[in-house]
Amino acid sequence: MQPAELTVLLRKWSQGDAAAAEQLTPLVYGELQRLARARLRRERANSTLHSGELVNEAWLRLAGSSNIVWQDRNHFFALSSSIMRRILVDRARARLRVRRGSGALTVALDDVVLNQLAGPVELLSLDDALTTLAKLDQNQCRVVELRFFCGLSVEETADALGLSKATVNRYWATARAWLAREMTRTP
Amino acid sequence: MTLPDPEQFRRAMELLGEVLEMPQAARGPWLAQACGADTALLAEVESLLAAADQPVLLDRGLADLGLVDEATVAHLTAESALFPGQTLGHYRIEGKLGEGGMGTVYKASDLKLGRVVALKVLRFAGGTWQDRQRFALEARAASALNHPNIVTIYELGSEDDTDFIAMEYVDGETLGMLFGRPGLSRSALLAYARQAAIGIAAAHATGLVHRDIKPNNIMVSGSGTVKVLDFGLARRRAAMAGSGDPVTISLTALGIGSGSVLGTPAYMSPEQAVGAELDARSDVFSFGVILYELVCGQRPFRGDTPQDTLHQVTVFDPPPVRAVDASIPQALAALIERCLRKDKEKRPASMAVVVEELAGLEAVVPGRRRLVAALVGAAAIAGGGGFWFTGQREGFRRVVISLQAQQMAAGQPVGAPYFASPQDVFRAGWRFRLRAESREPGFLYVINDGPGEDGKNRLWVLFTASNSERNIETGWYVFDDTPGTEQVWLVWSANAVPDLRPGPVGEAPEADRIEALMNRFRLNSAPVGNGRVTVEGQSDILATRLELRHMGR
Repeated sequence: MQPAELTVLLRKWSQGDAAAAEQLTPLVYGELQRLARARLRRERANSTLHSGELVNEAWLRLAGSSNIVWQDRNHFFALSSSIMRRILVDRARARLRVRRGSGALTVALDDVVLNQLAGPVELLSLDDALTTLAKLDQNQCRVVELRFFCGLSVEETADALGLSKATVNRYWATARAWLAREMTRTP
Repeated sequence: MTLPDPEQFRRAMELLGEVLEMPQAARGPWLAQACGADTALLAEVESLLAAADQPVLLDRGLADLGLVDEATVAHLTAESALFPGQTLGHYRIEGKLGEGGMGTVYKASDLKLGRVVALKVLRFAGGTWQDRQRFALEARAASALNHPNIVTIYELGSEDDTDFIAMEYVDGETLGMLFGRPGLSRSALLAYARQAAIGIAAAHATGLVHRDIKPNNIMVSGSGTVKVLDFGLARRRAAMAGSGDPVTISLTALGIGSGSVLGTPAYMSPEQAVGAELDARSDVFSFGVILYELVCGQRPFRGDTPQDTLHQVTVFDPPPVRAVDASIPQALAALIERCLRKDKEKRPASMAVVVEELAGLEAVVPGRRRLVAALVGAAAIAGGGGFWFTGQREGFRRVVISLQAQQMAAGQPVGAPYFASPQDVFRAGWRFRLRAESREPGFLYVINDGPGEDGKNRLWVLFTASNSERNIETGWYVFDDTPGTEQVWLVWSANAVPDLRPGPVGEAPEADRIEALMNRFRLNSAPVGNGRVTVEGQSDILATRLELRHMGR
């Protein structure tokens, strides 16, 4: 895809064009996956994944050195963060499925198993809560996505969403409290 | 969960935002005042305020949470999906073509040269640097091959540690896909195999061994040209199996790989199965397996597990070719069995020898006239054909159709009638006739589907056979002045089809009914040389369609 096409699609996407999202999502998903792979291969010893860096790199690769306005980059980050969320949630689901299938839960629900499961289980419940939050306040959900799944700083998040830093801080605090309550609420 | 009232949510979050920025002591009184009589709102904000003190997943990094762990790494490294629109180097992905043992193949556009390529994106081999170097060296040697029966490698590339190979895009199917397809005769398949043998022999001449000859590595293009895939790439597989020496594939490695990584062991040579050194004669063995399969209709080595199959490859002698099908010519059976000798010294010394012997088989065809005559009727070799027929499978019917054309000038014949190929282009005024030969008597119908005088497409029955016969020939038909492509249906039926009478077919629904009948029994024809095609199938009715292109005067 040419950077110019990317720009057009990103703008359409930010205006709520579903067809643009359909075209962009697999593209960005694939790019993020591939970069993650390349990075992990290089830094096998230290297999931590800094999703923010990944997204940045994906952006540089897809946009190239062309004259793309800052606004488009922000749209891209906003899109990428929800995709990173999806990648990780898919992954968490897969891990839980495997554990159930392997019989680990029936054998011994010891602390080790519980500790290993805590991450994926929590992530899935965060995902559910975020989905509800998005229906109530799209921007608060985006702030969480960008900061948590994309690893962006307050400043970068503010840039990406076109909000003030103060607003991002406030949204983060309120969304955090709201999500914490939703996640502990018994269904 | 049910969604809270949006207005209530907005108000609560606003107040929460304010109150969180206040010192602890000021919060309670301020909140009580802000909420006033709205006790529900006050309760909501207080419950959120309490939650704000709890530790939450969001406070920790993804890596701390163990969410990005070894398994995620494995997941991300295993998946190499590329999507249409994505670019890899100067290639833009157009779509996925297939999945192979070594990676995924995509159709892609070369943005520099503006051509379509097949892009094989290789899975991470996991081998050492030396493994990759060795692989690159051999793949580079393969890329120097330039032969019509070998898929040309354009480029070996690497982008973000993703290795890929750009190669010639072949629009067609693999030989594996064609095996057992009704309507495709064994002689046609054998003709394809011979083309593959020529390609393999050419590569051997440069010192390259394929190591993974199998039907799915042989592409047949839409025009019938055969191209061998993946020359010089098999080393890569060995490296992926995790064996120390990437040249060899051992049984042990297979045990680990469970066959899925390494593909089908059914085509491996015995020396390959035990991990010995390989030379060109290993490819000769694999090619012998293919010949056996296409002539006998079954694989020589068929185990329940990959290990079992490999065990058979090393110790088991497959059923003799002529025990499977006595109608297979002795010379062909002997050639196949020699290719399949366990001792490579006893196999044909090279693929070039195999090619030569296959060609020799054709040369002896006139001597097999009696066999042919017995099988398909006395007139079958009227064209002096270079093919014998390897007998009919149980329950199968085969009709050989030949197309004869006669050049004309000023209403007078020029030269003798010749056997034309359906791919030929004819001229206005020229004549053609069709002949159908079958083992058992049947009826032939020829129906033209083309524009009538009113310009609308309509069916016109050109010919009906009045009696069932084994050898039926139509009269001559003349190509008219309007250039175009005639769609000519040939319908062979064991029984008479009284509905088909010469002349135009009435309007729908009759025309629709006949069209549906032809489409229902439609089979692809396979060329067998000299302008002849075969149609093979199990039904009482065999239909096929020829497209005859003709120019104006």
